[in-house]
Amino acid sequence: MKQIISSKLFSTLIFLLSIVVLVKIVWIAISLTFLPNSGEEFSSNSKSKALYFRVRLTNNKAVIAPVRVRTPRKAPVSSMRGIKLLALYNASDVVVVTVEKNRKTSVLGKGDKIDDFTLVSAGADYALFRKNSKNFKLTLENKKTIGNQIRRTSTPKAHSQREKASSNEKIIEKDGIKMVNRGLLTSYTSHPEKIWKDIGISENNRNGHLNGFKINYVKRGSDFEKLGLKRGDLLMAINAEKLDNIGAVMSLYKDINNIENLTLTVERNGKSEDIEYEIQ
Amino acid sequence: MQMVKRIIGGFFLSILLLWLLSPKQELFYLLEKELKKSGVIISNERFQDRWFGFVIENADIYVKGAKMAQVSKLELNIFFLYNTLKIEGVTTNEAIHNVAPKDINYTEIKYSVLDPLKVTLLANGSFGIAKGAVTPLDKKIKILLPVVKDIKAFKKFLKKDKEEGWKYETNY
Repeated sequence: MKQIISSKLFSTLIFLLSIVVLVKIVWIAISLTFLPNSGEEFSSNSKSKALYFRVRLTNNKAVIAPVRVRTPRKAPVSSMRGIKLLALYNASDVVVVTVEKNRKTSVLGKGDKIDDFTLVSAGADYALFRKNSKNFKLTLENKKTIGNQIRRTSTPKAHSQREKASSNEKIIEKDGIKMVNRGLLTSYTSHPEKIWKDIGISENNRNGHLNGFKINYVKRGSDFEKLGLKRGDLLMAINAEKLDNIGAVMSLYKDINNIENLTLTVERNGKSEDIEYEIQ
Repeated sequence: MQMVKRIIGGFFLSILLLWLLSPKQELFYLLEKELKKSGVIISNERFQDRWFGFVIENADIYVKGAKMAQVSKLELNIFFLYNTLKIEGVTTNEAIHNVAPKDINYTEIKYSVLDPLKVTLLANGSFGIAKGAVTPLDKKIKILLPVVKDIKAFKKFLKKDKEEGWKYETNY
């Protein structure tokens, strides 16, 4: 009988096939015993959030509205020769000034006149008078302001710098509530490298799982110190969102410009406490 | 002699078949499992098995629970003498734009026996063009940026050389 295929070729084919089968069997065995049969998928932390109500702590918005510094109108340029402003009291409804003329002092209220100059308003360190439809500005001679029971004796330049600084105050404590200027948050989010100059933070793991961020260092006088954070604090949650994964931190980082209130839950000296802030 | 030929041929054939017939998807799952130990999760990806490698499409990369990047396509090909890893369309998360490039349009990591002592890298994206090499014997990574666009975010990691321009150099 004639052979269809040579025995040599046949044995080679059998050899090759046996290698293929052997390799396949090895892989099947490895797959069944060692290899996982499903991949890893990210599941967002769907742990139900603690019931959390955030109440605005101040009475109304007007209370926490940023203090606006009144800027003088540009109109008054004329001088009032012979008249000195010695003191002033400037409240929202009352303006009282003490002026001196020829070594004689007079106390004027809003609408009162001295040499046909009518007192119309006042600023932090000046009084505005009007005469013949013209505005006159009288600046405080020795910066002695009685308004709000505060007496200032500094130079005009230093005084204006201080006033500017207070208006730009990033963290204000009012009625026991810390109010944070939103500009502070945005400055840190747009320049994150600034954060690490002022504060040192490291991940804190408990039982092999992230449970917060340890504060290793807070720069003296920095905004973080003013916020009340201290070295050794363990920052555990922000707005009741547990900091047990980097995702929570990043989602907060993304939404930081939209939040109105901030509650930091820190573990300090073994005790958990909340530090509350209102964002203006 | 015939027997020796068979054994050598059989050995190389087995090596080739080991890769060709490997369950690449399951091996990828194993890689994912190992990556998860370091906090890296590749999620929502579409896996395609190929003879000499695999393709992953639309993968989201999470690091320690935070989405860091989205990868349109990742293609691995192992031809033994010439191996490539191509990554297309990487978009990084907005939150890390301060330290990482916004987009990496194309990256190719290549190893060829014609240049056996190094692994080369070529990439382009919002930062410009990057060309580099990893030399395992020297344990050195060197990446040059001949065309520079937006490198503000990671400029602090780079050095400027008079001849080579902006470059990143490190030892591991």
